[in-house]
Amino acid sequence: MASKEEFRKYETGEPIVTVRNLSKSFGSLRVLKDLNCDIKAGETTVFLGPSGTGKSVFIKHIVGLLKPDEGELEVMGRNVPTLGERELYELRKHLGLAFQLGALFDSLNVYDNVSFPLSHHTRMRQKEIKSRVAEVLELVGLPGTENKLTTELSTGQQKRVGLARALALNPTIVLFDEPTTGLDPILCTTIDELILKLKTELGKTFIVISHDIEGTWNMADQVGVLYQGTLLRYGRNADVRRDDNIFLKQFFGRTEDGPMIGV
Amino acid sequence: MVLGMIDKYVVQPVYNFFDEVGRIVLFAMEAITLLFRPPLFWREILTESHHVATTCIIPVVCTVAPIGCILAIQALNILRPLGVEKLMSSMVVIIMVRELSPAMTSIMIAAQAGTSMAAELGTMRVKEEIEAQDVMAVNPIQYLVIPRFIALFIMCPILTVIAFFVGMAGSYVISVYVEGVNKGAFLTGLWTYLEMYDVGGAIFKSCVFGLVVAVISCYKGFYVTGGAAGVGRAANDAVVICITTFLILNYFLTSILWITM
Ligand SMILES: Nc1ncnc2c1ncn2[C@@H]1O[C@H](COP(=O)(O)OP(=O)(O)O)[C@@H](O)[C@H]1O
Ligand SMILES: [Mg+2]
Repeated sequence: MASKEEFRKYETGEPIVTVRNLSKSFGSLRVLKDLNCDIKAGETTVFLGPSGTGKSVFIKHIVGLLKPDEGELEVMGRNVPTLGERELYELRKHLGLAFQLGALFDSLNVYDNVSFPLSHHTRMRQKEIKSRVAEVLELVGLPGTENKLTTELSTGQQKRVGLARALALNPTIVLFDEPTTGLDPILCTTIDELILKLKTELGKTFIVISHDIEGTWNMADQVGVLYQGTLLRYGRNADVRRDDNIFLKQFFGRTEDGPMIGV
Repeated sequence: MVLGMIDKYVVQPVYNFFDEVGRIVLFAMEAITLLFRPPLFWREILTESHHVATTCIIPVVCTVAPIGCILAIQALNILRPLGVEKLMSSMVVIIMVRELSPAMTSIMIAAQAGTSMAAELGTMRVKEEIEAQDVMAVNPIQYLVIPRFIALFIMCPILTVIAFFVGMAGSYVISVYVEGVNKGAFLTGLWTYLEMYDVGGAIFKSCVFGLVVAVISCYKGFYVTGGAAGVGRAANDAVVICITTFLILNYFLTSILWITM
């Protein structure tokens, strides 16, 4: 059985997530339409698109929070929609998802939030957990905030604590839903640089959802353009960038006159 | 036209009602199955139990004590003219143990702990905290729902026993110090009809009520949709549905436990 296999190490450039003909509807609303793509290990893949096009829905399929109506989805050799709870939980220990709005536990402080996956899934001692938490908080640029309540933090800080929590277990794949939306330009750059740094230093696979074009060109290896549930363009950063004009006109050039781009 | 009206005002509501009942039962069954699968989150169970106890004790005491007082007055109104004043405490204690302490305690627990659970879980759902737990490979039913089930299942009977003593104290104070009933008569009267069976029955009832509050409040909170407004609705629905359900259930339980043939 595939699920009993150890999780193997993926070489850079090897497909680690494969998506085939993925479709999803909510009632009569077709959110994802026949998506196909390979996401490669050790790279940063950015999915770009205006809000409301199903980016978050797509990322929730990868971690198995939503089940597709049709199509296949393989993550680290596991066929995600068919996994039982136990196997899914095993897989998820290798995935770190930072939610769009942070999704931090309000009732807990920063330390308890970040240590949550550590205390549930490792046998680390208190001291080790403490130093790991300090380490990831340092990584996201929030050292020494352990005792703050999450409600005392700004949205940008909450997002970064969310990222720290996603990184805590040292996952193979880090998924990041709109890391820079709603942040000031300086913080945006900080987060983009952070992702670049983590990729080069730790060799992690990043799947990032964004509607920030500039940031995408800076950090992406691979770029996917999602629009109304279809993957319009999927290719290397430089190639997609060369098409810049075409899709910029199509999607992002209309910021002023169309309702296409929300938030 | 008429058929349309029937469909809208009769068929749909009835369908929705049974649909909802089915979902609640499935939810309860899922939680009970997961109860027997490790891990059991002891710290959360203790925190929740402590929370229920500390937030509910004062509302329970403050409603049951005056109920004890009025029971004494009304019982004396009937029994004194008949010259059987000594039966007053026998009557009050039976009503208090069998009916009023379980019911009043559960009502206050539903109002205090039930709504807070529905609102808390609902907010967590809306803020994607529940999904976040799931993604971190921690089953949210095990981590969030089961501790609340256990807390209510344990605290409801404990608070019921406390409520019973408080209620009887209220009726003692009124009858002895205000109405001038004889102290000894009051105390011996307590044991005229009361049996251990009554105490057991009351505890059984309160366990059932505790579970009803737990299942309905957690269900309402856990499956909230529609943002902040949805959370408000969930808390509101939870308290009304809980109290209605267990008061109706109470009738059947009383019939089974104490009906005189
Ligand atoms: N659980 C759900 N139930 C119903 N509709 C949903 C659900 N999740 C998302 N949607 C809808 O799917 C569409 C895409 O949402 P989303 O993926 O969040 O967009 P975005 O690209 O901004 O992240 C939206 O119209 C949203 O209303
Ligand atoms: Mg989104």
